Amino acid sequence: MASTSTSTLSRKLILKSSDGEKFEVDENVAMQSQTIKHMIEDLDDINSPIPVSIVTGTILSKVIEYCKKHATEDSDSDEQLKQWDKEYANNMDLNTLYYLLLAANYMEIKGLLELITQCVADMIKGKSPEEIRAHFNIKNDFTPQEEANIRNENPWAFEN
Amino acid sequence: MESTYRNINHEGRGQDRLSSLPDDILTEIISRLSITSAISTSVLSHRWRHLWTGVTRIQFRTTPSTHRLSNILRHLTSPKLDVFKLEVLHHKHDYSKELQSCIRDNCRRNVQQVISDVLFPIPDCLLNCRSIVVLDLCGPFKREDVYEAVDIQLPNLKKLSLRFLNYLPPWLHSLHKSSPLLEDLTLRATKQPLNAMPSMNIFFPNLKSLVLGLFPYHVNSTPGVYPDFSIDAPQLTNLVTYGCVLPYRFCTNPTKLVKARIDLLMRKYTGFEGNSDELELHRFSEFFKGMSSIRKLELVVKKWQMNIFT
Repeated sequence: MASTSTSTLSRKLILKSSDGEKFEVDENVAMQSQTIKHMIEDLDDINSPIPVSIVTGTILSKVIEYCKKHATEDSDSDEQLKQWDKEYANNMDLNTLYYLLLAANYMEIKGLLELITQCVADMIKGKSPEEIRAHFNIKNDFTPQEEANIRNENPWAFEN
Repeated sequence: MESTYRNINHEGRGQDRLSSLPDDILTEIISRLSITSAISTSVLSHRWRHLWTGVTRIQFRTTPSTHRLSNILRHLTSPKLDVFKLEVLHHKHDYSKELQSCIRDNCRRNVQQVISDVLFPIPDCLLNCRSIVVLDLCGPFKREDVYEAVDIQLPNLKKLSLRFLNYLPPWLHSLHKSSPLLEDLTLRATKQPLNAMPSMNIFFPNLKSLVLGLFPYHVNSTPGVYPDFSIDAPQLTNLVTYGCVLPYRFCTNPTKLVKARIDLLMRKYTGFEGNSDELELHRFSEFFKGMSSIRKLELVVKKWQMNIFT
């Protein structure tokens, strides 16, 4: 009886990325994803790999890094965890951030989605529309007249 | 989702991957900007033209004019609002009316957090807006006559912070009945002593953090008649007080208390007669008696010494 309960506590799951890479993770790590949590509930055989269909191995390993850190939050104070989050996000290039956003959204990991959306919002903050376009390679598809009209709707928003 | 992913799944520079993210992710990003910044994204490209109208958080860093405020609210498409936040340090005009109507609009959108640095009379609807989780306000103004009849209904409230109070609104008396989930309570008065002698039951089974600063100096009252703030909060871990602590009384010992900061501020030596010092000493030691579990006690004493460990 006792051994059964121990084994359920440290149950391992296998996650399979879109490009076929497999990751063995503790159940409590994987359960931070609501999507995986729901998949497990419907799964008969827990030993077969769980497909994370739109996430590549490179991105999935970064997602798992985040989930591992947040599954064992007892050891760290809130401030330490915040500091870790900050460094984690700062180490990502723009490309990785986009894929992480898609992954966090698809896998429904609330904390990660919040962290990365905040990180992108911080990049937009304080920039003029021209600077934002340059930073993210956004192509301005308005005519000068259209753009002037939009600015005139809420001129105060463009004062800085 | 698959198609979105494929669209941006090209390696190489010069790609606008941000714009190819799904609407809900972009709206989430824009929601984290101040409202001014959010609106300015409408000019980036056709893709971004109307995204800002779906924001679920409204954050002002400068004082909005009436015209702007109503213009923004008219454009919002989101039926629900998570956060309404005003972080404005200097404001020239009295925005009471505008803000009140704005808060009414928030309540209709089932707002969850209302955070404001601006003083304005709290509209009654905010006190029975059942969706509210966080309420962090300055004031309220003295409007006892209006509040008297208000039936406070905030069943989901987890955090309440009222700063710069110059009186204790009557609806606070029923807070413990209205909001049993409360975890975080802050009540701080202005430097002026509260003009009425208040008392209140701070009975919250889930309260973890309590900040009380209602009596900046000593209590102005007849000796022996103290305002009474009875505290029954078995889960309390963090306690901060500013000023006089004598009106605060623990009904049950706060056995889970980990951190306490007791800042006695300045104390005036007026208005005391007879044996009131002895009475104070008694209430003072009673206040600390139950803090046996505490790991960190910070005591800040200025211009006043009293041996509390007797």
